[in-house]
Amino acid sequence: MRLQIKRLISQMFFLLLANLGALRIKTGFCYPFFYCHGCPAASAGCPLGTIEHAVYRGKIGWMLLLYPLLFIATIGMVFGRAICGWACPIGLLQRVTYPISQRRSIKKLSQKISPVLLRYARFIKYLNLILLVFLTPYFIGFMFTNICPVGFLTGTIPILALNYGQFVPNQFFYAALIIFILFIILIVLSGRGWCKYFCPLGALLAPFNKISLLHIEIETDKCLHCNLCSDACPMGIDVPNMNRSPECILCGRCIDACPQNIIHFKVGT
Amino acid sequence: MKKKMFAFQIALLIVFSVSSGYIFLGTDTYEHVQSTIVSVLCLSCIKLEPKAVLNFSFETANNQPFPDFVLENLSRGPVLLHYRTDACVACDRMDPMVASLFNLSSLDEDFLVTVSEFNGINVTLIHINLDHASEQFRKSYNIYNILGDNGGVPMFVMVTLKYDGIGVRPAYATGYGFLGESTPEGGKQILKKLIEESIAMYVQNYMGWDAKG
Repeated sequence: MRLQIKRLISQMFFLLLANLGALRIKTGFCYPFFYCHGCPAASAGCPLGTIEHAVYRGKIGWMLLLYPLLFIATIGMVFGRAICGWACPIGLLQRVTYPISQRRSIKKLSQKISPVLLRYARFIKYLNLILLVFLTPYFIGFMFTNICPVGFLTGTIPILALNYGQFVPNQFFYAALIIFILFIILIVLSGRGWCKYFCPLGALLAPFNKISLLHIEIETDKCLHCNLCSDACPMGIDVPNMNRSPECILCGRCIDACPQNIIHFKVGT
Repeated sequence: MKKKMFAFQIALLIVFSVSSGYIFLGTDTYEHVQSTIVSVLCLSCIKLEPKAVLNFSFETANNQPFPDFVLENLSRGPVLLHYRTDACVACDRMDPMVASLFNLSSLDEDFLVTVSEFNGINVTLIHINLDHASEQFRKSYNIYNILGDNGGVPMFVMVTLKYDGIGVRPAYATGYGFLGESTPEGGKQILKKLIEESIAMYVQNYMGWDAKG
């Protein structure tokens, strides 16, 4: 079976797993990926929401804080950011929008943005994590989840749709709606734009790529420098020189694209 | 070098997985996440507020009887149950409104029972932070949460007495967020009216109520 078909099956499986709440299965686990516990079918807690809960207004609940962090660290140690590529439902959504972002007209548009700017823009996700998930809830009680576009997509919209006319917008609704529209524009214009630039959970998992057991290995001495792997990479990585890049989501598109078959998944060092 | 790196990876994996396992098995964090974060929505987080339909009804949301601590307090006047969780912006904004109605300086406590006089009748406020509440109080949230999975905090439950055509029974009305208003101040006015209505019902029906029955 082709790698990308296996990945699609994996993503569908995790999407189902994330929505087991529809069968009244509500667990006390945290998702290792981005999904909102506000979703009527959610089966676990949002890790970012749990972190915010743990640090809210300076009252640190250490166990509640360490619970999602250590869970993600354990999974990150084994799989690195493969979670983003193989499990995250928002990754699946971006897989759907990826072909649109690759249309020539849209590519031309996004190529007008300076590559230097885009390189630095990747740091926004780390800022999002530190500022909006840890610091603002701790100091002023403002949480990322109040304006989270993924929460809007997987929580707010389904609740509104299933309970038509029974809810009214609250103070965060319109701000979250604008951010949600920008999120949709982003993932349409830029393949994996959310993962590259804004996802706080991606920022949490990214450092584990450097030390995770699972990683991508390239036999660089056999490389023809055809760049087909880099062209295929949805994260825009220079694959032959990536050296366990924190941006790599281990989707395996480079493995499929390589004519020399010199790119592989590897477990260990 | 590769062996050292591998040993380091395995050591880190063991540290993370054992610590994670300890929190999962050795503490009540799993239950906490399950019973509050997953089961009790923070209305600020879903960016919505349920429309207020503040009707007094007899049958509870999950068909469980009224909790004992509510019935005990009901013998001296109407009871206002106020639920919140730790991380909840709407709760933070409604807390001062509730506090001012009951002449309190703040509602910083995780659990508080206080009695205040309105029009000569005692009204009991029971303030419950679900993140720190005991099982008994956590369960009471589900008894009055008429919206089920779509309900959330802040949640207000006014409990009073009402005639059901045969006899007098405890009845309750549940509201959420700013109680259908766009501001906490508007919510406070609705809450004040609700308290006044519950007092009128209580005065009208108290004589017919058999607390032990």
